[in-house]
Amino acid sequence: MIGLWHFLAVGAVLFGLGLTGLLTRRNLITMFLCAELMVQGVALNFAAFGRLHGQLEGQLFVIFLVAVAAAEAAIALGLFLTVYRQARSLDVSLWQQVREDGVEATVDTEPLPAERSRPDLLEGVQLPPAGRRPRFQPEEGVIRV
Amino acid sequence: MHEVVMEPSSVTVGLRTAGPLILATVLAVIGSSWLLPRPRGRFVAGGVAALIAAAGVLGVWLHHRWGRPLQDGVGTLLFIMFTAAAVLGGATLVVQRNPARGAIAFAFAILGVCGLFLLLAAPFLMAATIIVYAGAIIVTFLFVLMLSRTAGPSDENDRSREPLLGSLAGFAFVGLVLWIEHLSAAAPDRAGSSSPTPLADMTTTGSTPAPAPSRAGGLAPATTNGPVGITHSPNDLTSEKGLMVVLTRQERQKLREALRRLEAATEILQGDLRLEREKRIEYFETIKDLLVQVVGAAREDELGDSSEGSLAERLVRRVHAPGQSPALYRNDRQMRQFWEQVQQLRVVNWRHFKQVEDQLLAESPSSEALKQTVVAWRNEVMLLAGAGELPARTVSSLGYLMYSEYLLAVELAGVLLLLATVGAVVVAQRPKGEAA
Amino acid sequence: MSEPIGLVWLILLLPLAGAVTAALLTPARFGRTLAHVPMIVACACAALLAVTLLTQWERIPQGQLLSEPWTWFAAGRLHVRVSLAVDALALTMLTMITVVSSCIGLFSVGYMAGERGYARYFAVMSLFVFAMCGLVLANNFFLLLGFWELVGLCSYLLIGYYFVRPSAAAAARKAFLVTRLGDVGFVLGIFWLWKLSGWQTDLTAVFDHLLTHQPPQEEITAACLLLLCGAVGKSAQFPLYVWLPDAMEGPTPVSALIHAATMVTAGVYLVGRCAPLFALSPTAVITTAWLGGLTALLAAFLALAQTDLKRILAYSTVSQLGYMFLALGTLGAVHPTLAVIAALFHLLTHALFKALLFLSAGSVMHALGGIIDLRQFGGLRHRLPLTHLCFLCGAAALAGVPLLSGFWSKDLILESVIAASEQSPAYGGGYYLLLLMSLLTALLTAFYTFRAYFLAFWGPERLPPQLQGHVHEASAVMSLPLVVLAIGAVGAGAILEPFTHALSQFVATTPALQQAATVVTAPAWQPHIDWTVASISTVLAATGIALAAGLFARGEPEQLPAVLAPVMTLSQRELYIEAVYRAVLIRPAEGLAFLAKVADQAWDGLLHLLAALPGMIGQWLRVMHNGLVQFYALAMMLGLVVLMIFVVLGLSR
Repeated sequence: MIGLWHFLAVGAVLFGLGLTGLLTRRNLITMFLCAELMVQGVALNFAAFGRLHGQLEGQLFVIFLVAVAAAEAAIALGLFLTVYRQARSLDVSLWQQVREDGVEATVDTEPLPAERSRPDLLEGVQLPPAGRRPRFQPEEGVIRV
Repeated sequence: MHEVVMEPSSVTVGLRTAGPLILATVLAVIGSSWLLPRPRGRFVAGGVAALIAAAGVLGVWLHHRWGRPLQDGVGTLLFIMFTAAAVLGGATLVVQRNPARGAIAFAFAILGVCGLFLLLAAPFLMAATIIVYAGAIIVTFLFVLMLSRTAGPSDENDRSREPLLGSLAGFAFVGLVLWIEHLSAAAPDRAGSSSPTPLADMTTTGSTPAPAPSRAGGLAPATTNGPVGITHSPNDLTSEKGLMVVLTRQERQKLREALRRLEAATEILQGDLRLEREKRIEYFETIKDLLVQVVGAAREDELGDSSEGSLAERLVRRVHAPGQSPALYRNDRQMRQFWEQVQQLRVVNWRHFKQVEDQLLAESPSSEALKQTVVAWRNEVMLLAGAGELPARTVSSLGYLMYSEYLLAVELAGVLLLLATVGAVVVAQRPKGEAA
Repeated sequence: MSEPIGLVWLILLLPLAGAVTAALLTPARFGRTLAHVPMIVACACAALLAVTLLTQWERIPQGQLLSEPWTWFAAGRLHVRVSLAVDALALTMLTMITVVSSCIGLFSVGYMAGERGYARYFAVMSLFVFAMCGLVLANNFFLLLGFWELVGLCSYLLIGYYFVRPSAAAAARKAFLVTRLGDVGFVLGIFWLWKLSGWQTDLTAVFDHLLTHQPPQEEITAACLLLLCGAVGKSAQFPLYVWLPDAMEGPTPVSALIHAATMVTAGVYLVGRCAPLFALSPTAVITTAWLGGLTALLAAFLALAQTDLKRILAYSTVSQLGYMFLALGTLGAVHPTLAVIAALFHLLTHALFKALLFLSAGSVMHALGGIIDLRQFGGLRHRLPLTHLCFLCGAAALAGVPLLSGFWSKDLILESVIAASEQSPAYGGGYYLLLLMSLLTALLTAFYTFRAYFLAFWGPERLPPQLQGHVHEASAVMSLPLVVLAIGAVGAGAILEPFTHALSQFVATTPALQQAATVVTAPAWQPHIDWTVASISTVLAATGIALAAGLFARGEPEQLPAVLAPVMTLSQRELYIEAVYRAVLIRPAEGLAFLAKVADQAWDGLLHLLAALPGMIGQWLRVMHNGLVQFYALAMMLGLVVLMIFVVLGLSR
């Protein structure tokens, strides 16, 4: 019935999951969320140790951690926006220009799966130019929406 | 590999404990590498099965190694639920192709963690985390919607960088951390100085205190090597070498009572202060006596009440115990701090009481001065109560701590946030003249 | 006591504040029009304060003000303290520097108008004044060295003001390197003195110690000679004078301020300040005298046939500085007060008339749009009447026309040399020779000065074709300093010394000179006017001027007299000294450098061979560096995992 280690274990698992995501996922936003997951693992450790020692400092640290995470989120999202404006993509692998001179760029060879075909519900539906009355032609049937 | 280097008596223990951990790690690596997004060959069912198996093995190992997390059934159930939410949410975030769904999964993980905070007697943290992260998540979510509205499969969502190696790095790290925790929990055993540091008294509700014997019994589970050479009477909290029992329940109740009375002192101080002096003084004397029972009297011997089981006796023994292992250094330091607080309160208690008494006995008692003294008195008691106990009602103590001892850090954090906001605006600003 | 020293600090720090303010104005839009204000205000205020201090000087006890020292740094036995000392000598210099720089700052407003880097110019000028004041005031050898180098830096920055012009950049570099050559000796000398004086660095302390504990003669001589090296480099004496004529690449006011009036006198001031040391070493003193005499004659000779007006003035500066060194070189043979006052007097008058000459030349240059070559213009006296008059004043003062300032100060030097040749026990003959050389120099000075004057202002009017009709007198802001300096050049000499003896009485109160007098056996000196010397130098000046007038008053003659032609050619080629330097110094150095290069390449080859090995391994490993951040993070984590496994193994043990 000793609780500390269980909490520490959960913190470690969260940290590890976040780490795995950060290392493997390529979407910047997902990576960022994974980093936040790691922070949560650490926060859990702080809280558990604070509880263990009967002190409030552990919780205080978590509060600062949250503040830092919020600051980080603001900056990161601003950066992502800038990055996306430049590359029209959030793929982190696009940014590999700082590699050693003469090393080939890492390119994905495996083709992406074909786009899953999804019926375009609004096919053939067009809005008329503004200011003109839409011509409703009942004989053509009901507009599919 | 551990088996080889460990002492013969520990070999079996090592095998028994390390084996499941390695198994769980391997399973998690396999599952995660199967599940991570890739253009072809994702084996969803197998991956999910492997991850669940890994979680199961780990849970069994944890239970086997350290027993139930919390003494009460409800608490344990809550712990399991919240943990499941956190881990499940986290895992979903990692393997989910669609970042929008990933963000929702992350929100679930946060909720789980917040539940765990609650179990750790940190309601303020829970609220703060939910507020901050909920806000952040919503913003993130908006960004996701805005930015990565890719029609079909895309590089960033449908590919992973080195799934196998990445999973290996992540989960091997977890396995190693858990193993080190296991080792450090076991280390005092072997040193013969302390039992595995328990997190006793971890009731979240705090309203129904379990009787001391049963709790103490729970603290020394049969699975661990019991402390050798230490008298361990189940009734005696103080003999236990654990780290956290700073204040016993009785002491805490006395402190709380003193605090309550101090907070209610304004009512007593109403009306004409020249009347009913004895009654008022008696009121404050009660407070003083309550505190003296906890921290000792100022006029007696130096330690105050040093009878068997008293706070002073426990702390002095803890603080001045010779030959403590270095692992306990930090703990010792905290104990010393606490002891200093106790000493201070012991002196200040007497002084404040004298001041109040003098004021009340004066020709024309000043209500303002009295109130000031009472507030100072109350703050001292609150610091001690907050430092000594961690029940669910820590928010006020936390606030007091934040805006007294850690004021500078709080201000710095605020400045950091402000700077980050400004920085984000600057970073995201569109250069002049650039088209949308 | 505390109040006057506060005044001194203010004098020192005002120009620094001016420099900072001007530098801060650089990016501002109005920096291009208003950057001169801080410098001029700071210098004028400093000048005012210096004059105030001068008038209050009788109230200062012991003739010296010392600031409360504080430790700048200490390492082992080396304790360097920041401390200022003001005595009559320093105060005179201070007044001269601040007054002249105020005039020149004012002139620059007109001269530099519209130039690029206007604010930079005034910031560095102000910084220069700060450095020069610090140099004069410093009471610690290392502090002195710091300001000494700061002065060099400012000179570098100002010579290279037009840094886009390769010749200016090269001249700046040359000036910097050549003076550094002297500074090596200076630094060594300082350290030697430090050792000799029982590990002290304050000037006053060093003097006290050396005068009470007479150190070995050879050692003090060596230290003095090393100090002299620094002075020679800074004051452009033979053989390190070569940088000064080239330094005319800077703007003309810079030439006037730095390379005529103030910076080059730093060496003279240093030797004068260290008079107690030099009094201990007759060898160093006679070396100084010979260096000065030689330089004076050589530079005067070189100035004979130059065609660049500013270059003539530069060589004349070198020559006059040589006079000052000659005066200092009589230090042991005559009473130190006479030697130092002669040098200082000439320094002051020279600062006035040389600044005047340079500013007049600048005015000519300004009017002619940058042309300064005497072959391209002439007969300007009608076009530029004021400039003409001012130049005439300066030239007459320089040539030693009676009753003008240069006349009196040069006479004092000659008088001091005569006294030395009569009184010196060991070197009497040498001083006699030096006297002859200096008389010849006086003749040459009058000749080349008036050659330049006649060529520029007399004869038929010649102007560069593109400038016809545009030549006119400069604005009032440029004329005012000219007039002020002209009055100074004409009258200052007579007022300061021959009739009032104000300067000699004032400077004689300097404690250092009184200290120096204690070790010298020469009889005390009574200020007086030596009419023999005066008449000789009058005759010489008149001869020189008459010669110049006869030859050049109608412009450049077609044919020089047969006697003069080879001399002029030799002078024009600058005695082939640059060529000699090239053959004797630069070529061998280049050869040595070539050898060193070959050896270096051999070593390098060996090292490259060694270095190729890691390079090859790196070639193989560089594939790892693929630019993917996630890959780096992964590698880091894997490394951490491996590390943790080792830690765990260690824990389990």
